[in-house]
Amino acid sequence: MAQFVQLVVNGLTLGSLYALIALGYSLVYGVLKLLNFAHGEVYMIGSFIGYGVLQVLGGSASPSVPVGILLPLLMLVAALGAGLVGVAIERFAYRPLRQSPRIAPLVSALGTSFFLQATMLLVVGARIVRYESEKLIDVSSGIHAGVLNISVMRMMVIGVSAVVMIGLNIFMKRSKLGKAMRATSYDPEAAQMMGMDVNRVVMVTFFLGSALAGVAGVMSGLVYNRVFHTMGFVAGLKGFTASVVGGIGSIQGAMAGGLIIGFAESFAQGYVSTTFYDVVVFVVLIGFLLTRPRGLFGVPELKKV
Amino acid sequence: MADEDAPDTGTRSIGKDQWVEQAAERIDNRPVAKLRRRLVQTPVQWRVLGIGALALLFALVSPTDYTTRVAFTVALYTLLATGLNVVVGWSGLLDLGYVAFFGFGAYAYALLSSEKFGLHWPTLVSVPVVVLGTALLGFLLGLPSRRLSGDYLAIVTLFFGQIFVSIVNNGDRLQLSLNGHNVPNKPFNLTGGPNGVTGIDPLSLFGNKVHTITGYYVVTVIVAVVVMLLLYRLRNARSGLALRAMREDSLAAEILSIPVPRLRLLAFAIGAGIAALAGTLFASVQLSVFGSNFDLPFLVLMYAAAILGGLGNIGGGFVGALIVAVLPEMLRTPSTGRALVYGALVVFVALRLRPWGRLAQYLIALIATGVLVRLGLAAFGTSIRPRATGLAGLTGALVPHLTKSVSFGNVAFLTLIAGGLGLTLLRPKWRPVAAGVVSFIGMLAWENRLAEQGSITRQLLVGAALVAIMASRPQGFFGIKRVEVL
Amino acid sequence: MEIDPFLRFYCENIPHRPGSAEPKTTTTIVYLKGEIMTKGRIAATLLAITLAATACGSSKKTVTAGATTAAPAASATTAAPAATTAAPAATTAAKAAPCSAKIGFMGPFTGDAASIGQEQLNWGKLGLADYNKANGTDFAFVETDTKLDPAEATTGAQKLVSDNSVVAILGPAGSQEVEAVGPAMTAANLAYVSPSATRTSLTAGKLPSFARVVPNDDAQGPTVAKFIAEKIAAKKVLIIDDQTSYSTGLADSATAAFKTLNVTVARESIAQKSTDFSSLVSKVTDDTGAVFLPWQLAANAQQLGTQLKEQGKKAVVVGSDGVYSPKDFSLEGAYVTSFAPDVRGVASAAAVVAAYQKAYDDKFGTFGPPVYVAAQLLATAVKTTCKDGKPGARADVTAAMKKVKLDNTILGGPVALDDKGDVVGAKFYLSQVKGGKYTLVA
Repeated sequence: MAQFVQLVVNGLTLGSLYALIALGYSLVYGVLKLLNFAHGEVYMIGSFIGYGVLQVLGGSASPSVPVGILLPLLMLVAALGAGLVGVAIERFAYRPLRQSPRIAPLVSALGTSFFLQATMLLVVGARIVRYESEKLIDVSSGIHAGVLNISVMRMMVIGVSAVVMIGLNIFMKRSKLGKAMRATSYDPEAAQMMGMDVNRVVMVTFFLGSALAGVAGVMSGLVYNRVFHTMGFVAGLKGFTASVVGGIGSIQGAMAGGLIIGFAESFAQGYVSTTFYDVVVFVVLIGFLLTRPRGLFGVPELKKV
Repeated sequence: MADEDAPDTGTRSIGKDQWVEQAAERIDNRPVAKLRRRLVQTPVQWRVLGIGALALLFALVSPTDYTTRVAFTVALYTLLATGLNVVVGWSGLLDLGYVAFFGFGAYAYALLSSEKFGLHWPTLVSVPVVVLGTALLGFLLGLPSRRLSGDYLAIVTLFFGQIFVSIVNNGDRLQLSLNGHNVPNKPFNLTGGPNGVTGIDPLSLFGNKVHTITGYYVVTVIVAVVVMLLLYRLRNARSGLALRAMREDSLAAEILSIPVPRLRLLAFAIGAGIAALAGTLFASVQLSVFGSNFDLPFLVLMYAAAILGGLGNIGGGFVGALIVAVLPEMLRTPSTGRALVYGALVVFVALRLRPWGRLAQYLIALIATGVLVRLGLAAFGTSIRPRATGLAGLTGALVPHLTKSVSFGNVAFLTLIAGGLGLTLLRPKWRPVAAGVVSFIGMLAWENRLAEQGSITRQLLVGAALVAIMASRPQGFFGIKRVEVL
Repeated sequence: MEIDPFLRFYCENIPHRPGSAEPKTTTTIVYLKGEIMTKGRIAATLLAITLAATACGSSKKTVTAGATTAAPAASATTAAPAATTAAPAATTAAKAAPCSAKIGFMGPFTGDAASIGQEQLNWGKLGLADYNKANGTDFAFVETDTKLDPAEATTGAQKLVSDNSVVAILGPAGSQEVEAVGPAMTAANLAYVSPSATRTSLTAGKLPSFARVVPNDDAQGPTVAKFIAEKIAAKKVLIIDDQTSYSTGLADSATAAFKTLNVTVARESIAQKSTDFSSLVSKVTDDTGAVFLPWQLAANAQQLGTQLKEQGKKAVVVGSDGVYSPKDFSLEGAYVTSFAPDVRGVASAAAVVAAYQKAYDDKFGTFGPPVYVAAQLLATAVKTTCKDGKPGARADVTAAMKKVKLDNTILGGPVALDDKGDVVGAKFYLSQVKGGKYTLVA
């Protein structure tokens, strides 16, 4: 029982992060039908930005501002920075390829990944850096009641992700820009004819998606502590998986997909095998996709003949 | 090498401006254009054979084993990119498990012909068995394509690739635990885990063991040429035409009674077979295989090769392979990297900054920035380091090189990125001046930081080159422009 | 006297050595013609050169300090304490033509293992630069990135083998890379010394020109097992490998040793790249006395330890030598092994460590210092074969390498190789983390 509860907590934390990353894929895919494989690198840069701000403000051992202000500040700066990186990637790597075959941006994404990884390697070095969040908030603080062990940091991750996702949902449904994004996603040409600036919509989309990845990067640094230049690869892969499983292009799908992957990983590790947990997860997901060929929230494609 | 949509250069069009037409004619009569036309008019088989013959000639003139090894890599990547082309370029299936077939072929050969289990199957038996077996596996992996399509199919193949890597990497202690019973009793070592399989037999063809890298190179070139010729035949046969019809519009193809599900399976199987063939060559030249060779980064590299060359084109794989294999090798030595970067800068300036007035603006901006930076450094009393001899010394004399240069170089590098990106957004009028400033910052970054971090710089330059190539040629080098129905 | 960098460049490019005759203007022109005459500005250049060469005579003293050799390694490390002794050594060696050779250097300088590779790169450069300074030699590295990928390593090795001026190789880092480059190295009879490949079977005789400066897995596993069984007195131990060659080898060796000591062993493994260890931590049972982590990345071990604490588990963490990194692994009460006492505490290494910390940072772990020793070892081997400033044949260097004995290294003792290429008399130490510091306990 204790193990089960613990695995739920682990899965929820991990799943929240995956969901945030998956949202970036889905948002971009929704508008451009483009798989942004450089998304993981944006997450990595977000994590590094958070680390940088933390160091500037005195480090974890003796921060110069209260923790309550520090953490939101880290996330805000990282979201802004990552958002700008995302916009730059779109402007310089993807926009020249807007009219080319769907698969072509894959090479640009690869080039961008190489470049960003090497840049961080050059500028911040190869060492794995640690947020040392245990010095900010003690890991043994939080709720420890019976079988339940949940640290403050994990509660914060789950809470912030929930708030961000609800906020995004409202933004997409209510705001003018959100509506423009949905319209562009539905039919870019018609949207353009209605006077929407497609380039602006695409830019906002990239900014939003990347900002979410930046927030995820900081939170990953806070809970999992390790930040290094190749961390984006695995995270990007998981985010991509989550967005497809949820139904690519769908926002609710990305959130659900993230949680599904998070839980699947946690339970596969806890109950089956840590060595082969990804095999277990992938086999389960293949089975799932065969029964639901368009993911959880995907809509059947309309075909024109 | 665009086969079907070759530009029809000879026609006179009605309603075209005379000047435009004359200009077009002049361009058509340039030697390069003539050569290109001649090339386009040569039948594909002859072109493939010609390139193959040139490649074999290279084996004779290759100065060192290292250059032969790089050439071998090009040939191997060509084979892999060609196989990928069948699945992605011809059939439009996004197969993200492709490298797993390459790995499967390599491991299967390794297990059948090595000291691992003491099996030493002769090459001419094990290779066909491995290729057919992997093609069958490809067929099986293609089965979900009956239900899934697009990105959903892609992710299932991606899962397959990841499962393969995971099993290979941890296949040294295979054991099932069921209610405390272990099956088998002792963990079974199938793949050697992270230690891989070593002691693999070299290829042995008609009684001759292939020992040298030149030998492997020759074998690989011949195999690649044969595969390409066979594929060319297939492409123009009924199945090939049907495959392309399916790529353009699978629904319309189905209505024309083309057996779409069966063709998809065929494409998967052919791709898998070619990848496995490449895998056996790889395993035998390396004499050892490790799981890390077959992971996603390599898959992405192969996609890059296929796309850079131009999807759908038989010869495209070769061009793509040439880029992804040779470019990183050219940048392996820092001094070559320096020569390349400065050379590229000079060529760029000479080609793009015309007329002379703009060049002058550029140079003045460059020199002015240099003087300002020097004055600034002198004002802060920063000590400048003496430099080495040769080209490094020459550039080092032009660009100040600080003794404490790490953070200075980093700042210069980040400024270079921002400046370089900003440059493309500027009005053309200001570009020469801005380019001069950015060039000097680039040289600062290069001398103070990049030149000393050869391996990192190599990765940076390869990445930037890929983005730049794609931005300037979105179709790949020999790709065919086509409209996609979404 | 601060002189203009332009001027300085021309002065240094004049091929003269300290002690030889004053530079002549004519030689300078001939030399530079080959370099830049293509620019087509001969007249202007000639004028500049004449001026420069005249100026050189007056400013020579400021120029020669520390600038005589162009070794890339000298760049960031000229501040090393040996700098003062460099000048006389260089002068004496100059008379007998300094031994000049190229040594290949293979390591994972980029990619997933770059944190290890970059540390190795820095220590290697420092090692060779210090050797050059102390012995008046002119050795330089030819770096080749392997990304910890055997195929990439093979291509890189082929490049070094094909480069006839390369007489020995430092690296590669990983055991699987050593296996992969083996055939090419053996064919060329090229000496290669790995600073971190520990797989036992590498020195079983298949790779005659291979050697390493670190003890193999069989030396470490039993030491750790004995310590855990006797000092920590754990009845049940969990071993978690990180799915790398280093890790599985060490885990296997430790598992075998635990069996002989009647300790129950559970084995898990988790990929080095995994984001989260908390679900693995949830599986640690309450009766587990110790968790042995034969890992390469100290930060990962620190994270796993933190998560043990988060979930209220009491097992003691024992890290292998890969985790030995006081700045990154500082879990109170945990143990960590090392095959040498911490270089920070070795008296003979103090100057080197200070130089390293000045040039790079102080957050190095266990992968760096052996590279320094490997560089020394190879350089010594090459130097013994040197005649008239030229190194001997590759076979001679390989033979010489096996006979090298370094009396006092920064690892705190002599280093010598046995005929298989392993370090003689390898011994392991255990330290405990107390108040953020490592204290030697066994």
